[in-house]
Amino acid sequence: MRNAKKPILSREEIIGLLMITPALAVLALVYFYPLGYNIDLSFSNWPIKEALPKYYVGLDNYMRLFSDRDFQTVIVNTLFFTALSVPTELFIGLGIALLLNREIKGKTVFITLLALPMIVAPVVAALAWKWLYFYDYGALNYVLSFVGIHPIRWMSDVNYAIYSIIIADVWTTTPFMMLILYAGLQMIPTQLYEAARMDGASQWHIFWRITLPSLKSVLAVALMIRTIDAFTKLFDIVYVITGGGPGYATEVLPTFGYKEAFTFFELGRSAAITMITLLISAVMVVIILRSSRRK
Amino acid sequence: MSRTKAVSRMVWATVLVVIVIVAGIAAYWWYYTQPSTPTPAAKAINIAWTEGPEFDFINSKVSEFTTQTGITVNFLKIPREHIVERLMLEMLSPTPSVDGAVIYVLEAPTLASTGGLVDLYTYRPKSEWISESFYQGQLEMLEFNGSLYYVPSIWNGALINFYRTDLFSNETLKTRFETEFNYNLTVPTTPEQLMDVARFFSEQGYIGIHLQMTTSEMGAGAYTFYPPLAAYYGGGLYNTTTGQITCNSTGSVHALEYLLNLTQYAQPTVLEDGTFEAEQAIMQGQSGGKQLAMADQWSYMYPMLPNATFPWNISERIFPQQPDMLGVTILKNSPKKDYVWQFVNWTSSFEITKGTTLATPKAPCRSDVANDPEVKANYWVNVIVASYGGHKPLVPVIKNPHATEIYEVMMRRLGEAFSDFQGAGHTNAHAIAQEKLDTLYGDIKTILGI
Repeated sequence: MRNAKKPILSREEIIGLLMITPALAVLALVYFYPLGYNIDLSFSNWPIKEALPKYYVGLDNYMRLFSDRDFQTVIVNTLFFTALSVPTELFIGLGIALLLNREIKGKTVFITLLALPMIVAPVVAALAWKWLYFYDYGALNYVLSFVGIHPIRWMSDVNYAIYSIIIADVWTTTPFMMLILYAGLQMIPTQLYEAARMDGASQWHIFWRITLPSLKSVLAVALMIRTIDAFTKLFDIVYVITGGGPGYATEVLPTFGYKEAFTFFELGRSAAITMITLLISAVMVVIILRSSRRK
Repeated sequence: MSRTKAVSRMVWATVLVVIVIVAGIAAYWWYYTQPSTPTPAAKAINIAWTEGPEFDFINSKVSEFTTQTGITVNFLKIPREHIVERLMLEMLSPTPSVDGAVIYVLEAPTLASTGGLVDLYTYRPKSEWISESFYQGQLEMLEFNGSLYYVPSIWNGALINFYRTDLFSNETLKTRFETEFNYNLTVPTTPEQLMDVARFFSEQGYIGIHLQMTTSEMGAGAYTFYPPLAAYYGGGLYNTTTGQITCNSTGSVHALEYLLNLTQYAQPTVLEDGTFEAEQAIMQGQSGGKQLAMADQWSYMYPMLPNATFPWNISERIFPQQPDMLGVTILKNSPKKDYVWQFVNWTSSFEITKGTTLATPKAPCRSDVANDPEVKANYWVNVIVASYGGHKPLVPVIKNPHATEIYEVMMRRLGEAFSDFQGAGHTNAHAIAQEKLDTLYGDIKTILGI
């Protein structure tokens, strides 16, 4: 009996495998296959406009991108956007979450109203902001005129265009930060606050020593999600409001990659842009996670 | 140890399952993408289209085509800026859902170079198109490597000059103009006169000329000004025939310098405004709180003028222009090519072309329509014909598979030039134009792989 051969997989393992098979199938179809295809494409040139077949070019797409001045501008724009919009969303979201964490009447109504921008489709939000930004008919310039500020070309002035995008994005995504941080605040045991108050801690000390450390993991997750979003999914708002212009002033990686693929049909270059975006965002996620683990 | 082995077994088994799944999907995909025995096509065609007055007219008449031929036409509405990407994907597909599409002159070289469109000369030779009253010049504007992929029967839009009749007949203004410029105030006919008149009205507190100079809308805005003006001054962008990049030649720099200077006398939103904003400005007669003296706008606006706030009239466009043509093309991989050809034939017939010409209104693509008494009776016909290849020559678009990229990058550099010019307080026009066009030269070289 001791020499009887053990089956390769136990009954539990086979059942487990069968149960995860549908999920694996979906994952293979929608994640691994496109990713593999994209990697393959990033090392290729496929001149579909000349009706020629795909051929491999090694690292040529990457080399050309890194020596391209416009691509460097796009990288800087994307980093600038991420560096400015994500912390802004975080601070505003945290501030609102802290206010909501108090005992206030009609809290549910406030939360619902504040979460509305998140429910609106990004394209609709972008169109609404575009109307607000119009030089002649826009409400923003009209309101600013009451305080003596001359009309601003929000969408066509290179000095303002990127800020127009950031403002619209902050409006759309702050509710996400607010909700996730509010949920985090709700998880902090009230006994911690009571004990701190009994010890005579000030509000600032309570926030700095209890609230913020308790929110660390939630903050890291929120930052991570928004950083990835800001870096990889900033498409709708830019596409609708400025189209990436004027010049390359508001062009970011997602819109640049899209244009390379579907305006110029440079599929290899577009795939390389996607891979670079993926790598940079992966590095940023690792940095955020590592810094959140530090004591 | 045994736990490690179990985990290892699990990993290998998972990899195996993934490989089996991927192989299954690949086999399924391969099986269904094999060419199958053709079955008789249903008498229904799908035509990709974009909204517009020309679509409204054709849509209202298409039941007549169905009655005549028994072919049902389904229109798939696709935004203009996405039509090329949709068609490229359709042409790569073994089972296309689009049989024909309304395409734009700028899109034609990109689509045609893929070899995915049907050459209309295979259905009807060039000589027959010409003998059927189509303008030879217009057909040749659309030819690519000797083939024709559509005729401009759907839209042939001309830009014309709109001017305020009351301002141009105002005696006080006329006297002031004559004192300053030593010639009479009349509706300008050359770019040099336009600069004077626009400057004059600007000094009098008006918007000298309303221009749609956006650099983010392909087929409109700065795209409609710069390439033909560069050609007018002896420059250009890229010479299709010689393969020479001419974008930073003396004429091209002069053209951009001219446009930069002209924007000083335009509305404050000159760099944002596209067709919609220009239409609003003309109807309301103002922009940025100032009244308009002139506007450069599409011919389709003409019938709306009686409802405008101020009295307007139209004249020949001051600048030459590029063809602005839409027509129905046939996808080569459609099993219903012959049905689409019948649709092409119907849309380019005398009756339908006359109908779209009057309904939109646009430049006729057939001489028999242009000479039709009912069409000719309209005042705007002469203005459009003169502006669109009559007195002012039509400047052909670049005929290269990379044309879209070249125009796109041109718009980028124009956008930078306009922004820099405004940032510099409307100075250094020549230096800015030269610098941006030198950059554009490098861009085009990269695009063409030279």
